[in-house]
Amino acid sequence: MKRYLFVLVMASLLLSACGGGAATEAPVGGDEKATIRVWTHQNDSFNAGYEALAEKYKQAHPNVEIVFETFDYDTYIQTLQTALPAKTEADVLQMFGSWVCSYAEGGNLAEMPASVISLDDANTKLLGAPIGGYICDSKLYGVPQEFNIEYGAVLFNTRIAEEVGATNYTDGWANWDDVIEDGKKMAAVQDGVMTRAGLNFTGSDGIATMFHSVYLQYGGQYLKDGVYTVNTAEGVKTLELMKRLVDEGLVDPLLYNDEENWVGDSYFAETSAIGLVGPWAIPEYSGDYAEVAAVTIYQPLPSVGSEPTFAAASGWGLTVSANSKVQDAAWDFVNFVTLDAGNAVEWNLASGTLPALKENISGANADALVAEFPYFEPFLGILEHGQYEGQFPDRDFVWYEVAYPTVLNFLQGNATLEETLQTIESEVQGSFK
Amino acid sequence: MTASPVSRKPLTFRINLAYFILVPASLIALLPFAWMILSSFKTLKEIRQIPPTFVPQEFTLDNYIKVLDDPDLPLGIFYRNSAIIAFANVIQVLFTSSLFGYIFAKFEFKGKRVLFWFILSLMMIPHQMTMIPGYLILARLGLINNLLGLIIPAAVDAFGIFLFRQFAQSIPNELLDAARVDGAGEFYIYRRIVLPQLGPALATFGMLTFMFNWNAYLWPLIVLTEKNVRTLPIILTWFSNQQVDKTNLTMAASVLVILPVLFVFLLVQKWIVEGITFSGLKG
Amino acid sequence: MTNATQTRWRRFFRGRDSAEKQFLAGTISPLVFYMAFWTVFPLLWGIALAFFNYSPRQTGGFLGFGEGNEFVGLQNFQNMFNFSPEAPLEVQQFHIGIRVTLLFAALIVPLNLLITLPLAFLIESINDKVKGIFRTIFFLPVLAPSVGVAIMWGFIFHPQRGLLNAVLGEFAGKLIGIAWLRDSSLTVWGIPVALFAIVVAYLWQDMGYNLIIFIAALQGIPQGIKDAARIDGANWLQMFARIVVPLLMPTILLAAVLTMISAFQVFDIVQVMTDGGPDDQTQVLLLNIYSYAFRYQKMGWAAAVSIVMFLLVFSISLVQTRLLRTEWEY
Repeated sequence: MKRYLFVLVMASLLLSACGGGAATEAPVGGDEKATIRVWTHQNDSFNAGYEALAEKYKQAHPNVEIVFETFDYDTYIQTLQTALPAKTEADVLQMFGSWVCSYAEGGNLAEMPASVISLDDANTKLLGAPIGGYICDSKLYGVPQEFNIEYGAVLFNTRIAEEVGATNYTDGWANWDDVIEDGKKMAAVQDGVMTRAGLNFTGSDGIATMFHSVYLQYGGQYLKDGVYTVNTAEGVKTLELMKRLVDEGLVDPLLYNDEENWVGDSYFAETSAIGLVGPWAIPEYSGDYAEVAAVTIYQPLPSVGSEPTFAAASGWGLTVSANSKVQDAAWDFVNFVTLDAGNAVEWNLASGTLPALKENISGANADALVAEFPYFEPFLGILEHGQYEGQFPDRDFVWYEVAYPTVLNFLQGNATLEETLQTIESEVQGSFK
Repeated sequence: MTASPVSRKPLTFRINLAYFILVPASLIALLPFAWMILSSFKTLKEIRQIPPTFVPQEFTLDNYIKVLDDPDLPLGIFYRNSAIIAFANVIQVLFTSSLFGYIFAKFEFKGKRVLFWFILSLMMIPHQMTMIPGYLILARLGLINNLLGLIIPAAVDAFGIFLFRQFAQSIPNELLDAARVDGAGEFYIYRRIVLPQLGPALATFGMLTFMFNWNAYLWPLIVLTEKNVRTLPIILTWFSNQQVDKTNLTMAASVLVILPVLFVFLLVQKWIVEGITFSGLKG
Repeated sequence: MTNATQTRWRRFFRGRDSAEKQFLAGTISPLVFYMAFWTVFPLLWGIALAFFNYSPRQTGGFLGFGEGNEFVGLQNFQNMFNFSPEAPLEVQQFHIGIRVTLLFAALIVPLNLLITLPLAFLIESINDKVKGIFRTIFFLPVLAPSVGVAIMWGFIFHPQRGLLNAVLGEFAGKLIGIAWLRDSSLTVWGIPVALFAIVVAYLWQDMGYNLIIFIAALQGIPQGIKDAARIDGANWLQMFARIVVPLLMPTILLAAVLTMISAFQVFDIVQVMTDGGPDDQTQVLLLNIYSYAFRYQKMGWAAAVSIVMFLLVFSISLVQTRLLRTEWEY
């Protein structure tokens, strides 16, 4: 008897389960209610920005419902790729610039309608590096929202600098010798174990972007006509610079890398005095680490070339799925969020990212940004020197599977310089098919 | 046979030695847990300091409050969804595993060997390869974002069949034959004779299945993307972004996830203790 | 046997045949249908993948094959035999993956059995009241979600904030900063320390399973045998070696096979603790498969690797079973 009762209870729960999963219906276009599903990856400040803008949009368009679904980074990649063949993905998909072309070329993304913005206009309105990833085969597939800068300036802890008497930074670093002098002082070692890194640049983004940026600064071009070359004099000089930072005691790559003491965590925990990471980290951590955020400035790194060139990825932005049944509504929303200067800068303010729209790097909007994030100031000036890192068939592979581990290995002293350049070049070139 | 006095000595000696090993071993087994629980009471700053502390210097319940009160995390709904899936799957898996384990153990039929090795080999397949087609099927059936999508495909567990076959083999054939001679139907035999014999195995495997379903992370996240159908383990990575890691919050979330499983385990544990040994007939 | 009984038995055996057939038909056929749909189809699809250059980001033709995902026949398998140092990175990582996974399984299975069987024996041998406590304690790690476990252990092995180094530091009197999981130059007997670290974490989480299986099996040893042995004056070591191990052989084999299979499937812990590092020293096959399937758009290649991995596990379990064949059924 008890058993049957139990089964009955279970059955009823199950039936409620069927009801519990309200699937989003394919809405009818026009004036009737439309639902736009948006997929984003987990990042509290990014998503807060989206939700605020969604609220605004709904006020102007009361018949539109916007539903957000978020995933942590790894799961997001898998979810996208599992849902696409089954066509159950959302209408608006947040993407990282370097992914866009692989999805677009597979026919999964909708091309930007000319009524929203044409390719030429997009090139004029948006900065080079951010828009780079969204253009595939001379077609536009979405709009970037941020200038993803992982190299060019560093988080700098002025309190520690004062404590140890590092002073070169106050007038700006003229060259790498200045940086090294400061960094050396700001590192701390106890019993032969580094307890505070001077300059933590050994995260995956840090190493990969620094390598390619400095290469550019030395005058090299690593990617040309689909051929990848780094086994050159410029490559040698780049690696030598990076090794010098390790040898002079600014960081111990064994203790500080992507998996251990990752630069964002480490900097705000003050186990790194200077950190190479994008400005998005500051709003991410300032809630929990207000005192550190208060003494933090963004200090531009010196260039080894005549121009402060740097390689930049095409950052996070919004795209629309080719399978979406509400494409017009979706593009309208994307337009609202990304191409309207006021809204775009609102999102930048919430997420702590640099703008992708040219009109936001100067003028009133820029001032608002600087007011909120004073360390943005030096950046806004150099953004136009950013060069799109290049169209790789698989940029994540090059960055995270080749460049980062190989260079890290070299910095840890397990491979020679020649070997390292050789390996990077052949492995990357081998992935181009 | 009564234990003679001479048998007492080796007994007590053995017991003392056992404790001598068991106690330190338990401490080692518990240590990471202790670390995890203690970490859930630490502030973010304390989690990150060098050298680390074991016992929290600054005890705080903030982490739990944050997890429990987060407006983006309807924990009640998550617990409910996880419970529905877990219970449904436990029932159906126990049923199929015990039934088919028993069949493979006690019956002969054409193709039995092949079928058995096929089922066995299912355990060796990396799940990434079947993710996309599995998802495709669910999508075609309209089961995405529906709890049934995690229940219907989960009825058969290869490991379960394998395990129950092992345990069912020791059920004495005489018992079964005697029932048949008395005119009992096969299902009756399964229900009234086989199942009771498999008591501890049912309890044990039921608990394992519960735990497996409760902790399942990736697949539910992919199939159930809408918030009101999501399951509990999502809170485990909710507080870490791509690289930002808030270990104290994650540990608090882990504790909240483990508690129900622990509860079920403690329930079942008593059952195994009072239970019948699967050899059925003593002596 | 009397006539009446004879008739009864005759009637029984005749009836039994058809009743049995009905029963089997009624249960096996649904099982086969169910599995054909939910298991065989996805399986065949997954196998077919290995013959294509597939990425889920590309739209393909029938069931995703063709068009953007071109047919490449046996090319993925041919590539696997490329042992030159210029082989593409995924092939090199594949070779490493096989080596690392085999090594990992070879470490886990004996270590696990050496820990869980004696532990189960010890637990069974003590006072009933306390037994439950110990059983719970050792089983707890199984209950923890893998993500939590991996973060926990990653934390313990942390070079500056980890428990291990803190304890060592106490003894050494100074700060110890060994990067257990990141230093590729640390090896013991040629085996990377990072791999040992993963072994420890995995053993910790996994031992509960075999513990329960062995405890259940031990409970099944008839009390009579135990008493007889005790009366004969056997001490616990003899009990263990002469009685427990032989009687439990089928269970031990079961546990060995299952442990081996799940050791091959290790993924969560490795991904969170080391993500294959340092320098590919913990690049287990499943991690390899995942990376190439979802991160680097080479799902066809990943499928080919999966097939190889499956064949590997299958043959090893065949060998394990054959080796102890006589004790499989008891």
